[in-house]
Amino acid sequence: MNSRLITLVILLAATSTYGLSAQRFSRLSGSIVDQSGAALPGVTVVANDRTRGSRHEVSTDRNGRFELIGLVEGSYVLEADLPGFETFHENLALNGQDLSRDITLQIGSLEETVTVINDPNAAPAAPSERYAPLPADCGPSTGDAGGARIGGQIRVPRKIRHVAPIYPQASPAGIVTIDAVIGTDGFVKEANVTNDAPDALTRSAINAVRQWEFDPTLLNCEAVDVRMSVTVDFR
Amino acid sequence: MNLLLEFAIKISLVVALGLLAASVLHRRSAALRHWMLTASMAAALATPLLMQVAPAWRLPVSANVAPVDHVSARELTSGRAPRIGITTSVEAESRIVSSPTAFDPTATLIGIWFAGVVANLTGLLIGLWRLRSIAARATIVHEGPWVNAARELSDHFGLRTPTTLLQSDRPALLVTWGFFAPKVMLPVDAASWDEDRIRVVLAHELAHVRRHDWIIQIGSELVRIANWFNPLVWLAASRLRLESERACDDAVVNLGVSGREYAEHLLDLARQFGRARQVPIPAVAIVPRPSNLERRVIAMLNARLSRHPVSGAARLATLAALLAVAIPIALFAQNTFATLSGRILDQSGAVLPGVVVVATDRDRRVKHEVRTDGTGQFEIVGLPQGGYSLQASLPGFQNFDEQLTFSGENIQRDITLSIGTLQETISVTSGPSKAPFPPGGPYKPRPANCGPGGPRAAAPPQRDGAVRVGGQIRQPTKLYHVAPVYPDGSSAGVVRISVVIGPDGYVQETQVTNDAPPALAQSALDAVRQWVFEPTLLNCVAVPVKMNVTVDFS
Repeated sequence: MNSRLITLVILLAATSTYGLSAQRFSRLSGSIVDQSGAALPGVTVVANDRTRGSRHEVSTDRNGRFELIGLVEGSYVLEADLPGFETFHENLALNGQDLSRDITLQIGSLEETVTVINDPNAAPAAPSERYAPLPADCGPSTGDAGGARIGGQIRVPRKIRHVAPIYPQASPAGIVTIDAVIGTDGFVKEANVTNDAPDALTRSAINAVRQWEFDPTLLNCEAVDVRMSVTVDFR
Repeated sequence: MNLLLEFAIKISLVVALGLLAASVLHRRSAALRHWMLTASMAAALATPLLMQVAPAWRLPVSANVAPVDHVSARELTSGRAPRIGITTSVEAESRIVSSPTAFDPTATLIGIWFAGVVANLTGLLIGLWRLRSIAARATIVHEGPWVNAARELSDHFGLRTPTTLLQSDRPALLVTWGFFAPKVMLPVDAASWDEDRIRVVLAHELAHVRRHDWIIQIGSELVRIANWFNPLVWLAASRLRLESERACDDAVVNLGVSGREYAEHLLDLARQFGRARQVPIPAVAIVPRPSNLERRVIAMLNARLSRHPVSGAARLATLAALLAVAIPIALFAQNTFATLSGRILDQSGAVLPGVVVVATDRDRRVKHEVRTDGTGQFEIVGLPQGGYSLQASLPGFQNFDEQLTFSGENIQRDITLSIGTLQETISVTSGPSKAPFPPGGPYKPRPANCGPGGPRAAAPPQRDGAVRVGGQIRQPTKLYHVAPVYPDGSSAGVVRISVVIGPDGYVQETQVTNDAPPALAQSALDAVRQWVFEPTLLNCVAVPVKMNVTVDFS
């Protein structure tokens, strides 16, 4: 018999056993950046194995990179979480492939609840005085680490002018929820009612919220738009 | 286990590569094929060394287990405590009860491998010893046609060290061996051979000497012995031997002997030696083995075959090509993933569901977390090699903490969680002594409220093969409290006492654990010994529980 053939067969057998011995484990890696493209270190990245109920947790390194290896076949939920940012969720089906995910975390949204009490005797609340906005004080740059721009520095907006909504006369109680966007100049750019509230209440609430002013929200020393959800409780 | 497999597979790949190269080069000279196989054997020998230096390679096969101190504490305030100014909490403390894996196949496999190596190595050593003893009995040939031919051929081959010719007393022994002082052993009737045969045989043997075939063959034998379980290595070793003989056959033909004539010599020698009993000797020889005779004769009669020795450039080129493939194979480290599984029990042997088990990969800072299921089982799959800390925690129990090293092996751990420790701190100020609380007493403990039918009735009905689920702890409540009295004229101080509360609720053992003034210690002990608790129940059975009391005299 041809010895070349024997050798080839043996070689094939050896390589195929090598292939069989490798189980199907996935590697999930990637980087996490904020919306300005700067790397986010210290983000908690979790792969929740829904098939087995186990979770695999790792934090991004100084360059915003993460790597999880040894993920068994199954369906996963990938989560990335950093305080100040919106939590990222993604469903993944892993079957031995290596996946790379570059994730952008969006800046979190503000939440505010205002209660307006129907008290005819009370004087209508005057607009608060306007505070001077804080300077965008970012201090000396922390410098780059290994070329990646490090992000994740958020200056939380502070309200510098508040206007309380006025309870409309003879209106029933109700709750108005508003989705607003604070622009880079600190003024309210958009305000939309998101629930089904009486007209008089929504007018009053929108009217007040549109007059609010904020310090701009700073992400890595640059002003960014930020979403705000306001709940006005008329009672 | 996985590492052994990885080891074997890598060597198989490297050796198979050499065999494949030898097959592909079947029209080229035997010397080239021999060189390829030698290089692949050397690469196989180097593979374990390369794997050692590669960063991905991690050593031993079995898991190291080292216990560590406890880490964190868990608070569990008992209901009654605030009223008497005592904080009672359960503190975690680690206790490790892990059962060894029942059967470790790795150790057995290593044992089998080692036994095989010893057996094969013994065979080789016996062969060498036999060669030595035959040589000791042989006489050195100083003159005659053999010596003349040897001198002439040595000059022709450019051999610097003279080759010793030995005349043995055996009829069928014609072998060459030795690296620094090469020797050729001639059979008993060698003196009567005709000049042509002497020249042909000596040319072949001296070609071996020139090509260092003997030491290469010994090296390949060592590789074969270490990989005795691997048929590919056996194949490569025998092919190497064949190619070395064919390369020497070619060297003889290159001297001007015709292929046909040489083939006749080979057949004659095979006929003559075939009648005698062959002893296995680790040396190279012209006399064909029966299995190789046909191939060598056919190769001699085939005039189209290349018979050139390998040039230095060809050697370098083939070696570079082979190493370029073999080194990545050796260095390639497949990530092997292990599974950690086991069961978690309380100290009564009942399984604990809902225990959070966390394996933290200390190198990669990855936490793998899972909860035990309804039968107390847990399994974490896909743990890469490295050092881990394994933690198991359940409220009311001491935290379990253990250091593990994974090297691709699966690990099975059955963990027993011990019931937590009570913690109490009392402040005593100098002044009028307080009455015992509540006055009177001692008190009867609450009934062990484990269902209508008494303590055991609440346990879930036992099904066949079902596991007993545990983890029900009734926190102890203090029934009778006596405050320590501040001793007159004593300085302030802190007394720490380690207490064991017995299953009956009475204080069983007390021990002062710090260096406190004797007056304070005595006062604290006097008070603590009078305390009465409801028994601590684990799955409706009263168990002793440890308690640490801190009395602060201020």
